Amino acid sequence: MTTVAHAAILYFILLVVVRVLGRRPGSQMTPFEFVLIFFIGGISIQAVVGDDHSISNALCAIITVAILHVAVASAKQRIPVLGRIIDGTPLLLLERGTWKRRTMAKMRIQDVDVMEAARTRGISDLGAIKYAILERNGGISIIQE
Amino acid sequence: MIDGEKVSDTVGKVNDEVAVGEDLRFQERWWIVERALWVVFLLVIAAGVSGILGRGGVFSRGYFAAPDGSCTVEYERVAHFGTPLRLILHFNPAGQQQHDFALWMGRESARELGFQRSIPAPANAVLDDDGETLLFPAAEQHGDVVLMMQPATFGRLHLQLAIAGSERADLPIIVLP
Repeated sequence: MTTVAHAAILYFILLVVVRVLGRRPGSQMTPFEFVLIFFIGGISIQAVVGDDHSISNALCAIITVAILHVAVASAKQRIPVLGRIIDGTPLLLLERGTWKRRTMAKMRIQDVDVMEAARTRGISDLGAIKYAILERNGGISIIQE
Repeated sequence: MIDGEKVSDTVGKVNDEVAVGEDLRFQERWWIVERALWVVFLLVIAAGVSGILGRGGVFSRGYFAAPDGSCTVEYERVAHFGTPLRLILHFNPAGQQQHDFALWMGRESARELGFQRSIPAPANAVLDDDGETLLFPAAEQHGDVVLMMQPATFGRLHLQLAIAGSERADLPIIVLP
């Protein structure tokens, strides 16, 4: 019972914390962000399983998180505003040669992040980008001129 | 959603050419919520550093002294569920203890706070109607005695205690989940 309750509480706490941390941890992970993800994961595990290291206890925690995950995904599909709260909405970072500086600052995105995404599309110049969009998963989509 | 439903412009477009679905009104509201959440996070950190959430800060420790000054009990005001909790008896090094030292603990509080053992073990333990008295010989009163506990429940619990003939004290201990 304790494991199930702890897993459920921590699932929602992590959902909020990761959402507030921004989108970068979900995509375009640098070593800096790897540290964050592993650290948060390690700390959470201790609080969920406590001093019971049995397989049955771990199974309870895993199934609880799996059920919650499906329930939240299903709720997001039915209630669009919940989807926006949990995942956010795509955001324009660059529009026809103009940076959206306020959005970039709020989302802690730099020019180099956009350029990095552009290079993966074979684009070598920022001027060749028509739109750069920060997606809900943290990736940056590039639409060429 | 219906199978065979025709595709329509359900995702908002930018400049009427790229379907992005950006919702800046929602985003502005979210940024306000985000700022509020950062304030909450900072408050949690401040509470943690000051000891309001347990162990380590100035607010986390409480003291209870024997009326004759022979001993002070140091206890944790804030404990954590399922986590070892220590209660330390500091004997006054100035006073040479001539008599056995008695520590009484209420049965209900010993059960709720999950009393496990005393280090060193008492020379004797005497049960009464509502608690237990641990007796430490005079010869052992030159170091600290540590009582180990592990709360099995959470909430505002009470440590009922009496030392060296003092009145029974009711010390509140908050056990966080």
